Amino acid sequence: MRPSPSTLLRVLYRIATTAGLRLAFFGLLALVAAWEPLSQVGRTNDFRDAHLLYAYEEAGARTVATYGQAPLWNPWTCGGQYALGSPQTRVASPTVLLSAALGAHRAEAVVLWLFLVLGMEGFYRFARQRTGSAAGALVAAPFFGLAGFTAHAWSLGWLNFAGFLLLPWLLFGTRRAAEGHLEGAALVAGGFALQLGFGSSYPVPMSALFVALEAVRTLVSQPVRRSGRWRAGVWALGATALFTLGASMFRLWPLVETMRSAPRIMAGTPSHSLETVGRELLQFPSNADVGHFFFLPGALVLALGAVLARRRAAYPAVLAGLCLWLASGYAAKPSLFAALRLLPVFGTLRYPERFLVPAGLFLAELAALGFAALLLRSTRGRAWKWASGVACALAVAGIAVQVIGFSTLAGRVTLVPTPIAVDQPFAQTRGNRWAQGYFLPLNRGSIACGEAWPVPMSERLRGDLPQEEYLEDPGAGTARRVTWTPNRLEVDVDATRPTALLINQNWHPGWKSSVGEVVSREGLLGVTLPAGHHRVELRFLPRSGLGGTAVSALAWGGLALLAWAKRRRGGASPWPGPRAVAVAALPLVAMGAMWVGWHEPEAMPVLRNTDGSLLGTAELPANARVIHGRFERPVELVAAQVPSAPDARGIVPVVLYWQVRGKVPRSVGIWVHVAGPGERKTADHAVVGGTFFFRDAPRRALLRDAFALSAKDWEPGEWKVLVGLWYAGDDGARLKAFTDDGTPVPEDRFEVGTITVPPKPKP
Amino acid sequence: MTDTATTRVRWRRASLAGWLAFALCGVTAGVRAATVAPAPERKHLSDVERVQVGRAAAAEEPTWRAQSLHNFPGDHWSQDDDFSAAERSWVMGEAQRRDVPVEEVFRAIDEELHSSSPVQPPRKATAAPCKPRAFYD
Repeated sequence: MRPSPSTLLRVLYRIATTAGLRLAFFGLLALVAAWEPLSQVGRTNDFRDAHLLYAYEEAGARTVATYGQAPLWNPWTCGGQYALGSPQTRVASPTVLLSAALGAHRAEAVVLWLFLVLGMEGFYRFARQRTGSAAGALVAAPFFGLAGFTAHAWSLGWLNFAGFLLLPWLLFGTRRAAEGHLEGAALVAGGFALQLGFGSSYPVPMSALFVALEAVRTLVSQPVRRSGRWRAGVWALGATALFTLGASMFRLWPLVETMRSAPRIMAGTPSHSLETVGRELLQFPSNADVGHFFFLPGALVLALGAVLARRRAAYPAVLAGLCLWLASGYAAKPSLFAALRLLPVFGTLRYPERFLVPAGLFLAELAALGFAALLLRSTRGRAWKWASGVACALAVAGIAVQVIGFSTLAGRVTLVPTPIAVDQPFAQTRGNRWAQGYFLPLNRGSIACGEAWPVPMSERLRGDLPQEEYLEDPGAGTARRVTWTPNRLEVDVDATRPTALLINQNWHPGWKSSVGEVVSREGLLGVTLPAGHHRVELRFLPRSGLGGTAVSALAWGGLALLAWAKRRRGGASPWPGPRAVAVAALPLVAMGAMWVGWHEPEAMPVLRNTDGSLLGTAELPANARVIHGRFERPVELVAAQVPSAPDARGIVPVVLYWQVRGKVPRSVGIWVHVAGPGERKTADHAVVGGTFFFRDAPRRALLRDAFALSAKDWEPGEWKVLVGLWYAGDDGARLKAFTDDGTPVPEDRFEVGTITVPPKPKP
Repeated sequence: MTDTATTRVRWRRASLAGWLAFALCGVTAGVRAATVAPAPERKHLSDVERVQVGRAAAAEEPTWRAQSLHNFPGDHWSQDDDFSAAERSWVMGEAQRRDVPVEEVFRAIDEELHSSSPVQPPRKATAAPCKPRAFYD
């Protein structure tokens, strides 16, 4: 006897709604999908980013397991780094404990498995809430949870992108909170805190965007409006936002503080045609160029069924469309991604295609809707029965293909033998930015640093010192290391006169000394000391990390208090309402008090050109050629320094002096053409000194924009240097140029100098 | 027992079995990750060989530095980045040629740098502060 469709539906429903069975299904799928990664952990991913992120995690794990300290300071990368302030580290997540127990490599695959389960379970809850169908949510969960990007990210060592898998939890929690459920606030706060702790600069801002949309969507939805719970929803969401801020402060405060002192800048106009976007999303990853976000086309067929659900399908369909629009970057006209980049934080996003991850979420929601709509109609006749049968077959086959796609992508990794540890005292070495994972096992810090943001580093760091702790004035006495740990150092100093103890690590305002005063010596960590014998104890106690953790603890305490009051007082409890908002605001008030009462020096950004010279200057040098060139925007080309010939190494250093007097669009950049015998070289740059756009430049300050060209292969003769401005991230048009008295300049460019390349010496 | 009660008991048992299966999946993941064998250990460089390798890298450095200077004129971090790429490529080749772990070659370079203190130009024992390029597309 064949089971009837209604029996099948009932069984599917029972499996979906029985937590144990559902999690077993997700756990098994995750295990099969992650089997390839689980089998790789005896070796090391050789991609350069994987080296860096592995070094971060292993440093955190070693700090916990070997030294019994919290992973606050990481001395092994970039000459010493504030681990909580570096956006890509995962050490502020509880998963660091697993890394401490198993080692970073082995823990990574287990964490991946956990996140895959979390992603599928989160999607199930989100989609069930949205579609009302447990069966549809169960079937579509693997389409999102096992989407290709997590596997692609794994193959490059970017495990922290698994944070995207928390997005459905955040959306689910937002709606629950807006409907007045306290656990919704806890889910949103916990989800964002975990995403932040787990690192990466994409999941948090992108999730925040969709959470904001979800909040609006819930508030304007008919059930909330009609029931009159709109006002309560606003209070609940306000309190949720404050709780989330508080709960995230253990990481958010260090991050904001660090990014203020070392802002990340991202230029360029990344563009993807619709075809590329489609191939990235829908094509099976049969070769290295496609399918990095693989989302089964079969799921789209199910998604087509969502038209049966009509109004419920509209929102996810619109959001999926918006994500595709964003993912195409600057190729779409108008570009939504370009508009998004005008917002704070979003301006640092480099890869628009990552919006295909939330696109997958909303497409999976449509698939859940379509599957549910077909199943519901299966009793209406033979055709519907067939259609629902096909949908079931498609879903089962689709899940299998999704798992295979995941494994294929995760298997695209270059593995090398894991480095063997050498037991020796810590020291800095020059290191290598492309192979950082080799230095930590040697207990060496790599000064060579390759991050996506300008890590505050000292140029005085060295990889050849006989000892890492030494006196600034070598004749003043001796320094001897007594204890070395990541967050605490002890050094015995005998000084015959006042001097400074220098540590071969970067300075950070969080370092405190038991004797003397902690100072920055051109960014190097130092302690000024009086004459005499001292045991100097240096401890890393950053206000933002310790204070932020206290704020987060207070936020969770506040949430627990509200939960207790709700259970005890029921309807008379402060949640949701203005008193709940006040409770949620308290941790942030405490943070303000800490900010005022806990003094710590502020690390100020030092704005430099790519050659290390300062970007600001008080006056023009005597040999600068005055230009006073004006443009249609309030930017002036004040002067230029162009050498008459390349230097002995064949390098042509050029300096342009700029002044910005008013508002300038982000897209305005500098173009530099060097026209010589029969050809032209370019040195265009949209970012002044590689540091900021004209839009963000200090007003009326004299900016010194230094760059250089290599004349090694230039033909002998005269080369004219021509400079102008253009809309680099826009239509590419030149800005109209004028002389000081307002006369238009032909071709909208200024000739700022001539370089004579001498004939090449005969061999 | 009624049919409904029987069904309820059956599903409760199924739920328990599900939780057990889920736990088993987690344990399998953990055990698999903890027990995958590392790559077999290879031979190490002797003290003398490390000195030789360190000197060989030092001899190559001026060429890599000069190349980086022209690949990224005026951009100190990019020059070091370019140098790192050249050095890494050489290190991988050297490790393969001598059939030793890659970290052995890096260790040799580190020891040579420390023994040559202070390292003089055109070689460097320093690194330009991280200042990544704003353009990647």
